[in-house]
Amino acid sequence: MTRKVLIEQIRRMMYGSIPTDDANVTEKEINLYINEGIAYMAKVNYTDAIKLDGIETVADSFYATFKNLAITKDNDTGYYALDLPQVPLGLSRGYGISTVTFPTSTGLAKSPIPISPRELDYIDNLKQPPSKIFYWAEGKKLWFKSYTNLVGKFAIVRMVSTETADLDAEINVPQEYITDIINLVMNQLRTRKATPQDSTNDGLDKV
Amino acid sequence: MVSLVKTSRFYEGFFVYICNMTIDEVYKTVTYLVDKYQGTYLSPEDFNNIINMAQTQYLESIVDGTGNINSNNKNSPAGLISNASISDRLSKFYTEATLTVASSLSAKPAAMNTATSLRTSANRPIKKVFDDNLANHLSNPIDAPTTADPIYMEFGDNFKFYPSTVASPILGYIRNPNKMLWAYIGNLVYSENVNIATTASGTNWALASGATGLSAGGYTHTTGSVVPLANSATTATIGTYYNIVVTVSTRTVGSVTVNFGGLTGTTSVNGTINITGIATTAAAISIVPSNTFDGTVTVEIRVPSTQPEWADSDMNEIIYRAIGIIGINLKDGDLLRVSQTIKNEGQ
Repeated sequence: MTRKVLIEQIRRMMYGSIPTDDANVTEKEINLYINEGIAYMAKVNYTDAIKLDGIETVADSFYATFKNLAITKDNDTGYYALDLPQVPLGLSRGYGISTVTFPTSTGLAKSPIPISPRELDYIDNLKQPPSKIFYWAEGKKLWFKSYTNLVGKFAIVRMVSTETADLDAEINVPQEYITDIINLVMNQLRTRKATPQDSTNDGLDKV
Repeated sequence: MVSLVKTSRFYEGFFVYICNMTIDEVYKTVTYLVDKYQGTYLSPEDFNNIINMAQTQYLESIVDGTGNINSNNKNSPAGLISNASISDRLSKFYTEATLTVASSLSAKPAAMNTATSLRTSANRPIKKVFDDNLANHLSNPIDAPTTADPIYMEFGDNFKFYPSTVASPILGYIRNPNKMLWAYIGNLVYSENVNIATTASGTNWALASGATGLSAGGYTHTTGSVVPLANSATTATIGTYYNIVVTVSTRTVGSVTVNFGGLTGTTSVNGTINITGIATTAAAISIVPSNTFDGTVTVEIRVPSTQPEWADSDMNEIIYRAIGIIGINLKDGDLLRVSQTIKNEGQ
């Protein structure tokens, strides 16, 4: 199912039929709610696995692989960084972002090691720093501590993906969560639709 | 078991296609009512003004202010169309046009009454916005207008599109119905005098003393030329019925031939002749004198009546409004009886 199909399904529920030109809940707005719904379902999936099976995991279908992520060097810190497609979800380390690798053509065959930003000072102060590449996420940025020059290299990141503006993209969510996502979005939209609108142009904020 | 019950709506469909009320029947209905309830005479000019005013009011009543078809019009004063399928009735006036956008603007069609929809050439809706939320639309971080999903607002006689790169949007709109015109000739005395050439020119032709145009005083010819008096701008519409009234005066010798739209007539005496018929060409007005013709010619090109475009039930509503403007208040049943009587018996 593409996002566009899910959006149309939600809009029909919202308007009781095929929406008219006057519909002011737009596809792009609903897409934002879907992003949030997918993220919430990934969290539910993660916690359900812990509750039911006692193990941490997120269903494979939540993941997506992003390639050709350009790396630059921050001259103030000496670290390298790339921009992620979105802020990683707040899951345990190794679940929001599952793997970071480099194309085999770079010669950086081994995967970098995930660390927490709080562990960075410890690694910086090791007497004999290991010849490894470490990475950690800060917001939408993914940072690298590397003794190899990474400028001009492109990373491959596999992470839980909930956001896209491409409405023709397939939704990477297990089918059983779709109904819950619809319910989540509808609850948000009902509140929005129930809020009175200021439909008069009189300079007064009537809402 | 299912039984089919034929309601009045069932039969009404036949009337829509078979026997729409003519402008003459409308005129007779209204003048009859005016005569009966007010004991006065309604002039054709007044009738034409009032019936078109009523038509405009009626159209406004079934198309709401936002351009949507008002399909739940319970306020119809005649009570004839409560909850009826108004959109079906308006479908006759629904029109589509592909617009050309230049510098964000595209002119509204001249015949447009209300815009009902706008979509891109890729069939994406173009949302209408108003000036008090335009700025927020344009700077919106979620869904600012794009070429694929543009917005528009009505801007004087134009539509204004955002962004300006919108190409060939498709407009759906309700056009204005034709202005009705009762302009009967022959047994009836009234004929609207429109579509006349105001001026014309030709060798040895000059405006008659005190005249201001072809139909107002006319032109006088002096002998010695057969060059026609002509106005190339006054052309005929092929297939339209015309009544051309030619009046010759002060003639002592010669003849004159009037041509228009393939219709022609010649006179060699003082007096009035009528040239009537359906135009077969678009040929403009041309008045050809004989070399010796020395008279004054006035010409009026009278256009025919313009029939209503509405179904009978809608025309009843319009008549109801028309007589309301005149000051007559009828019950629905009275109006229906009168209109049916005139329709059936031609009274």
